[in-house]
Amino acid sequence: MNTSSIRLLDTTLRDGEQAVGVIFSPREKRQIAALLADIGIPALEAGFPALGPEEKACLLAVVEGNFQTPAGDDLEVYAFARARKEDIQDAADCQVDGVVISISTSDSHVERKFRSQRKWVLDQVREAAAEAKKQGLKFTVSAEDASRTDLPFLIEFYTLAEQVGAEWVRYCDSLGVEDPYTTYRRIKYVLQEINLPVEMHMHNDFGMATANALAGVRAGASGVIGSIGGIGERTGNSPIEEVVMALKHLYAVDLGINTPRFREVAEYVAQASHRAIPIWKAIIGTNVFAHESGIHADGILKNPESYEAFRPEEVGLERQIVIGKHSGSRAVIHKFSAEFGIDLDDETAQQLLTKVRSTAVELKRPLFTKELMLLFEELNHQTKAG
Amino acid sequence: MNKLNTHSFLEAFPEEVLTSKIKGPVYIDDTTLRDGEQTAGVVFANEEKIHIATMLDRIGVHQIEAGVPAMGGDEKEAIREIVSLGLSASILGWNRAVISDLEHSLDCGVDAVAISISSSDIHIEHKLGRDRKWVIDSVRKAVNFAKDHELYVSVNAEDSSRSDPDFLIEFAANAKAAGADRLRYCDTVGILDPLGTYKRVKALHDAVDLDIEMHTHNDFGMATANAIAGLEAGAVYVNTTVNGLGERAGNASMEELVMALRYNQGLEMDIQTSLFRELAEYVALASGRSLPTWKPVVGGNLFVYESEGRASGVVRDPATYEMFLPGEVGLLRRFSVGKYSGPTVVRRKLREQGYHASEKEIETLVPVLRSRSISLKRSLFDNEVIDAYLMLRERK
Repeated sequence: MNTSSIRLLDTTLRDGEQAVGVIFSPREKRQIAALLADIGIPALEAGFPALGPEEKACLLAVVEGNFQTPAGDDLEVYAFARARKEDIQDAADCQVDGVVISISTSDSHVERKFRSQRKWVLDQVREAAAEAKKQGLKFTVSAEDASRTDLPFLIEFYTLAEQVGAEWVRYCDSLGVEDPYTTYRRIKYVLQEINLPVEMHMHNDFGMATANALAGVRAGASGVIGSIGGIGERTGNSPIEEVVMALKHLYAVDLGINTPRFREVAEYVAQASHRAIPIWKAIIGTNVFAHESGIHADGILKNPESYEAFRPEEVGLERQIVIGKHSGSRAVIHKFSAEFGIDLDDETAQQLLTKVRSTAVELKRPLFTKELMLLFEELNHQTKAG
Repeated sequence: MNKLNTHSFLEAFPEEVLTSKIKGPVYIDDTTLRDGEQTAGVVFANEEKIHIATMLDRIGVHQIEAGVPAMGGDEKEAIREIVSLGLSASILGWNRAVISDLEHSLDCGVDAVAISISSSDIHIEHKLGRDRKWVIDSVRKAVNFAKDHELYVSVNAEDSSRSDPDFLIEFAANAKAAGADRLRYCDTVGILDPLGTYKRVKALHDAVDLDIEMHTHNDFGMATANAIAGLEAGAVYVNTTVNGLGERAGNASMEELVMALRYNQGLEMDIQTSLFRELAEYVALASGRSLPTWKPVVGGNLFVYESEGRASGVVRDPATYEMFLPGEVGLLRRFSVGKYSGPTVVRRKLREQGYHASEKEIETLVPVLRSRSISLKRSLFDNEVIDAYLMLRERK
């Protein structure tokens, strides 16, 4: 498999915005698209035009940006559509490059949500595809709830997609119920049966969205859909920064993304979506390179590789040694020498550490630099008075 | 071997892992009070530790890793108090492979200890400034001491995932020979993927007959998947934390693991999942880290329906979009009106508030509410929906 051909597609502006309470303005959608193109993401879904005129304005704002990746490629802009003629027309109104034609394929959805049958699903795809072609749009055919779909029907569905001229088919774990082994097994099977490239759209309901997307790639899928910070319905999607960094560091597959700007892009999306980035968020959280416990801080000071898989600068973060309840004397000595130019002897460091620990326990948090200095002065004062 | 033991993309998943399911039993050793508290910035009050331990016991975890006795002072006091509660769960104290650390554990009266030491060359050489022989000697001495005092012993091979697999086998064999009851496989830097985890743990499990416990970190977002991969390979214990609290990006989260085992593997554990949300909120407050609304299993928005597509499915049959009912984890199903809402959500919301609008009224309301939500850049409050409806009726 040619791993450099993996295509990332970002859905921050579509599935991301579908998260409860998240709404981007046209200006924000345009800005996010610009940032994604800037860091080298080649394709994105900009929204769901059938929602109405406001959403169409958002998509137009993105399209009119004419964004390019640093490699000089045009950012591919997709619109999301249900498998309906009208939705495709709405997409065409937005002058996007392509449209994602989505419909549920699981019996649970077909029978209980649509109150219909499989044949109807196939007819809908046929009609929507014909409309997309008429409008001159390239298209992806997406199987919603693919992970709970009977495999023979999924193959029938994807085969139809191939026949009607789709460029890609999409495999959605809409409820986030798969594990990596199931994903791997099913994608392997699908790829034996069809000749179109498959893209993975995974949800994080059991915390496995990234692992599942990567399992799909290992099985031969050539596209991964992600979003910044994993924003999306319910628990969200595969965070695109996790996918990129895992590919780079765990599999040595470098997609050429400008990762030092991850934090900046994530901050923009966090602001626009009113969702703060948890400080412990993998890859982009500010605490990911904060070390407090004595053993870890000591290890880090001797060699960062002891506890870090990659350097903080690689994702736009900084390393911090936090002084608190779990600190050891090495970290305290380092802090005083590096930041205040004061060399502590071992005994003073031990005495100071005792004070640091009891203060941190009392305050239920680590200490600010100023508090640390105050404790040091207090200690000096006591020593002199004693 | 390169720095992170890079996994090969081309390697196929072994057939046995694709078809087998974890049979169990699986035991949870929760480390919210140890690795969770070790997180930069997190300090639990003793009272909070006691409450968390009580809740964990009520939920049904097998073992509670209560802290690091060697820290002394308050930490030791909290562990002593937890021991004195007489919980059903085993209480474990964490130690370096140092006799004096174990003496502190004995002072606390714990029935189990973790004895931790690094097994990777990068840690042995750069952090400890020692060699492999010294590591093995330290393990043997510490395990012997603990077993002389009749403690249950879990030996932690810190940085297992970056250790030479052959040395890890030697390490485990020595731990077993000294009397250790299990080996904790630590992906300290969080650099494994599920297949890598499976292969490494399987090799260790095949070589040494010793119970294995998985301790995984979430640096690349795969802590839960990796813990499960370890169980697939034969591990029987998992070291989890509530909300995945823990160093850096955290550990495998208890609630994700339990629910994933139940729904991906069909493995039922004797765990009171309906208390998950309550415990998650408690730990969030006590650790000063608010619970994201989108957190898997326990996030406040998981059963909130705003988009028309999902809402229309779920009102017909919850199974269209829910793998489990909200009550199973202590959450509630709600409907919320926003940009993506359509007639189903609006009808539902009004009915829930005691208003029976006609279909025609709803049809008129939907675009009005959507535009309002878009211009406010947020979902609407129930009263905003009601007011819009009442205004519409007045205008007639």
